[in-house]
Amino acid sequence: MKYISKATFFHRLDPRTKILMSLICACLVVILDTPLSLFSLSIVLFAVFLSIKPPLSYIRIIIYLMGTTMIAAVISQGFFYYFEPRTPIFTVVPSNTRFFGNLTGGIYFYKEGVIYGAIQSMRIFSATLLSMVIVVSTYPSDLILGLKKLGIPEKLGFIITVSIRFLPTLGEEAKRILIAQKLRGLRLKGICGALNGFRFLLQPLIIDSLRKAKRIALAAEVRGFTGKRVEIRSLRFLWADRVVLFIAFLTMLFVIRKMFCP
Amino acid sequence: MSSYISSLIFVFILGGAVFYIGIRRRLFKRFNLYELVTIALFCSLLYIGGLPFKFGLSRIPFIHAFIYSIPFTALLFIGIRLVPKSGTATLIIFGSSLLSQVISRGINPLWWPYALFAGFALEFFFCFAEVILEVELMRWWRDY
Repeated sequence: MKYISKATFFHRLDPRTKILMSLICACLVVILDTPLSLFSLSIVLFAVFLSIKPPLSYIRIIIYLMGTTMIAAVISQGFFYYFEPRTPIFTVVPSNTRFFGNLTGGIYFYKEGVIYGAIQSMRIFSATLLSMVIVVSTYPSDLILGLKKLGIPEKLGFIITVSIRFLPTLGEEAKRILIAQKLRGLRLKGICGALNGFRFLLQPLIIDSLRKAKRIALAAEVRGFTGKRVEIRSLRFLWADRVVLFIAFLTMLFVIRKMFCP
Repeated sequence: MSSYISSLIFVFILGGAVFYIGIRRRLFKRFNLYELVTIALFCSLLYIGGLPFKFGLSRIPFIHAFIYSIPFTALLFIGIRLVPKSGTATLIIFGSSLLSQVISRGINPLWWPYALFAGFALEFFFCFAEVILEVELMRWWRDY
């Protein structure tokens, strides 16, 4: 998923608000432990996701992800749920079957496992949804600026900025090298082909990266990177940001109070 | 929740041990701009290094993670050898994790300790054994 420029409420929010909201939501995902509360959180986040007006293909991806995660978690936990008490819904291999029964002690599908699987899948789903809201509604450089304002070290911010700037360039370069190697007869099918391709890709790509690193470092030095820096774009923390953060924080406090001081 | 908190405590202890050993043995040195840019480019390379590994079976989640570990490890160790200083491993691993969060997965601070843990484990080995994968390549490249 990529950033999509739209004029929605979440697009207008400050990146810092979105990052802090993601932190609060992540805490909620961990704290909440009943199917109903997690289902409510998922529904709220899905509504937030729809409010940023994503394309139909993104909604399809979300529904596909949600479905597969839910089915996989419910089935796997249903069969492999370990904690007691557990109530079998149906039996796949009875414990008195000659070989497999003795070996496995019987294979059952447990009711508690199904509930646990549903809870876990809704946790994953909620975390994924808010992450996608952030990715779709925030431009990557604004996100980095927000992280810097929140106290991420300057050097780490610089590393991420340079990485994002040169990711498409390096990606294009890697594709070009692979095409050139294919034209020279390299076969990329299967694991052996992939390893071969990687071997022939690595050398030119790293040498080119080192050349680029030298040029970038020189350019940054010339522009006074190591001196005092100013930024062209500045972030503004508006009233909407304060209100959203206040509501999110209150919700978290309410949930914590409800969970730990009933 | 308890397993997450315990892993968080473990990361803090490991990080503390790395910093303690590093400061005591004076292993930490400042990164210059060239090294920082090299680390940044390696963060990007970790992201695109798996390009040749996109084939049929590797699209299945668990198999993908297993296969993708080959280019990841190779590039990580080349990066460490090119910038042989304490902190390179953590910066490359954490940087690439943050990069993938910013670009595709979305920022989630709860995942950060896992990337830090991977970095600190390597740093701990380097600090403890006082072995940094030093190579003359970087000096040769600077002179070139």
